[in-house]
Amino acid sequence: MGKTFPTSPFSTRFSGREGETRLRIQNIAWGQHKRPAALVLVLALAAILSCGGLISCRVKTEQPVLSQLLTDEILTDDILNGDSILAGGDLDGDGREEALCTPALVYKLWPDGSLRQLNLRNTVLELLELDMDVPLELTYLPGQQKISAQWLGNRRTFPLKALLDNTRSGLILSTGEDNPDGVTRYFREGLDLTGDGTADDRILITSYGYETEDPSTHAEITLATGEVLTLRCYDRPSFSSAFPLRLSDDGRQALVLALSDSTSNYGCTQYRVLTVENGQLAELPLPAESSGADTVYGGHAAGDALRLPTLLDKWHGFQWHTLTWDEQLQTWAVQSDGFFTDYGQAALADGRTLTLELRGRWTADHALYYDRVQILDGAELLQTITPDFPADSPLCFDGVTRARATVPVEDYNPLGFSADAALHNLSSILDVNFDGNQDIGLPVDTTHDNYHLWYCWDPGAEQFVPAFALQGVPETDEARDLLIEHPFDSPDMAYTFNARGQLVWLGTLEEQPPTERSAS
Amino acid sequence: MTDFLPRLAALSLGGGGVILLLLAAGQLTRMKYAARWRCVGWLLLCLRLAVPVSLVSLLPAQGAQAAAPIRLELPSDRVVYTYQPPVRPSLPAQGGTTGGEQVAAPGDSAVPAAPVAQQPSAPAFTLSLSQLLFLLWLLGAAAVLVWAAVSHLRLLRYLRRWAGPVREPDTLRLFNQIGDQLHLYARPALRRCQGLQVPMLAGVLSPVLLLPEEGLDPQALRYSILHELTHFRRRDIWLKTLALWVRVIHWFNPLVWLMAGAIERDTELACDEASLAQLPRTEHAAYGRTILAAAQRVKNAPAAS
Repeated sequence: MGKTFPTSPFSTRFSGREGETRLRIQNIAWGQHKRPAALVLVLALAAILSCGGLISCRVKTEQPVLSQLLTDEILTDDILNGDSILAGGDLDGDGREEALCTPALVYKLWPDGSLRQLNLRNTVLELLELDMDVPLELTYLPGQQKISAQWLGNRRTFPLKALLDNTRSGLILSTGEDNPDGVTRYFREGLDLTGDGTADDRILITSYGYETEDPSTHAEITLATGEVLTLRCYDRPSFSSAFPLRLSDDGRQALVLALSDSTSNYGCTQYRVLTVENGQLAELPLPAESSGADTVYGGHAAGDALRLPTLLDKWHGFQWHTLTWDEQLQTWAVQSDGFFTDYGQAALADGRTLTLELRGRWTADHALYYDRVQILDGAELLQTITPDFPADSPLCFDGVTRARATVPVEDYNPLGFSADAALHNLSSILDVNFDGNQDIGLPVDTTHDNYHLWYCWDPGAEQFVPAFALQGVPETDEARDLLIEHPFDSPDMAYTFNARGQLVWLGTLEEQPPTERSAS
Repeated sequence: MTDFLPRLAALSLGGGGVILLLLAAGQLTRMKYAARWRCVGWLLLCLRLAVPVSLVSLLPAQGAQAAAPIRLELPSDRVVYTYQPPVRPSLPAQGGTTGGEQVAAPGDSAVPAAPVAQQPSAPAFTLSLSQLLFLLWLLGAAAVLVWAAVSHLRLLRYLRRWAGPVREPDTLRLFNQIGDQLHLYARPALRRCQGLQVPMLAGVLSPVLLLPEEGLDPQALRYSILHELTHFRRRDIWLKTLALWVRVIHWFNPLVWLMAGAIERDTELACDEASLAQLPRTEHAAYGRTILAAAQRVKNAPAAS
């Protein structure tokens, strides 16, 4: 016939290949199989159903290079300030890339592909157990790969690696996936909320801005067990952070959420203290005096206590409250400092910079005053100035000058040095006597005369000594060695200093010749 | 598309493991259990492999990744080919051109030529690795599908030319008798075909039972019709069609082709078991001899007679 019978996959043939025929004959020879295969079939079914989930294939995603992620949008001029990245590469030896962009800000690629911003300043504050309002300056020491921290005349250096190892919190800038507008994410890792000693718990706080459907703040706490606890922690968007607080000796930590209202111009912050009890979140409500509208950002843990700040006004430091949890009474014990602290710095001719700590208090009718000014050289207390009024003006050349440069007794603020920022500068630091050392002028008068008592630096005594008083904040005219006073109800007056360093009144400023002159 | 291939690969790899498991189990238990159980196993596996979506992958992505005990990382998706159409230069519309030609001022050879305007270039065509692999997979799947379709069309064309109706009353009576015995209310068409060595059942939608032109002895004819009608009753061609679809999808997986061979074999064994159940035990040896004779006939048949 000259034709080949075609085959089709949609057919069965009575007899096939040799091997198959052998099997069929064997099968016939074995006879009927009586045993039901239900059990084997169930096992096979289980294997078949699981075959899709036995193996997962994931396309390897190229890890972005950190420099590609550090866009201009992230590295604003405020951060870079015109400088390039201070240090880059694997700075802490964990195999991941970091970039130190300012002495306080590090950008880091996370294993999940996200870009995160770590704040070393917060880590330093935590390590040094300093309050948030302490003036702290960080400097990067490139040769040593260290960060130098300076505060109130103190100095300490930290290896950059150690700081990075201790920094377990920050902002998630981009997740590597979608980054919706108006959503900010804060994370903190290394928590031990269950007391199992693992420090593997973590929190993610997500704030949804006003441009989103539900402007609010949500916390997601992931325990080491994989359990996830969620909480709508604030009904508004916020700048959020969190820190652990040790409340008991068993190692279990409470979690303090600091939720700063994103619309507040003074950092109004709501704090919430959460604990994990039997797999559930429980809250330890804070007392009213530390959870009002004047509570601001900067709270931190100090040992077993919680330090929370309240703000009197924008010109002054915080008033701090120390809260300790009473396990038996199940309440917070609150101890308020009752004062606030302002800081200033005075530079000396020998290169030292002295720190002024001005302790402020207030009255029931909100009159603010300083009752103590401490002069510190580093950690060493050099001098304590208290408002002992009336004060003398010993550094005046003659009686006329003394008459002008002495505060009328009736002008003195009976409370102490005035701290009323609406009336005058809180403290004026100026080299009024042209000796190369900055001097201190403290307001002692709440009348329109606005007298400041000037304390001039005495290098021999290593102290600021009371010198004279002038109205307002004077100006210096170094070209003519003139100290110019701005009285409230008379023309500007000119003073100079004689060879003995005494203040000499010269008359009105208008009467002074324009050329340089020396003291008589 | 970028998700499809990793999921297909994961399913194919997992399915390959189960195929090996079933093959080994079938080999070890074939004396204990009937072949129809293996066919049920193959049917379930084919149904699973025919849908290239992991059941676990229907869970959230992280859950799927975390649930799989074996996690493989595939090469990252990168661009493997880029075609940038050449930029077509065009002359500036104004200045120094007249009717599309550049005109130099007399004696002004030092005047620099006007800059040649560049037309905006067409977007470049790029081909990523995942796109390339997807195209390759599509080609392979299409090739298997075309091969199956061409094979079957060739058979249909052959049958149109060389197959004819069975007219012998004895054969028709026997066909109906066995159909009744198997409680078949719908039956395949019965045809006789030149060049066919052994009886066969062909077709999915309109199945036809084909008998060879050369007459079989009555006993062989009876056993052959019983065997093929049992295939029809068991819907073995549907199982083979499903196995073909699995091969279309998992054409790159040799274990799937191995499974297709095992399905072919096990359906024959299961069909024999079911046929023998219709026969008294005394006829089992004769049934076996018929198979041997048919195999001999196939073997002796010239490749192109």
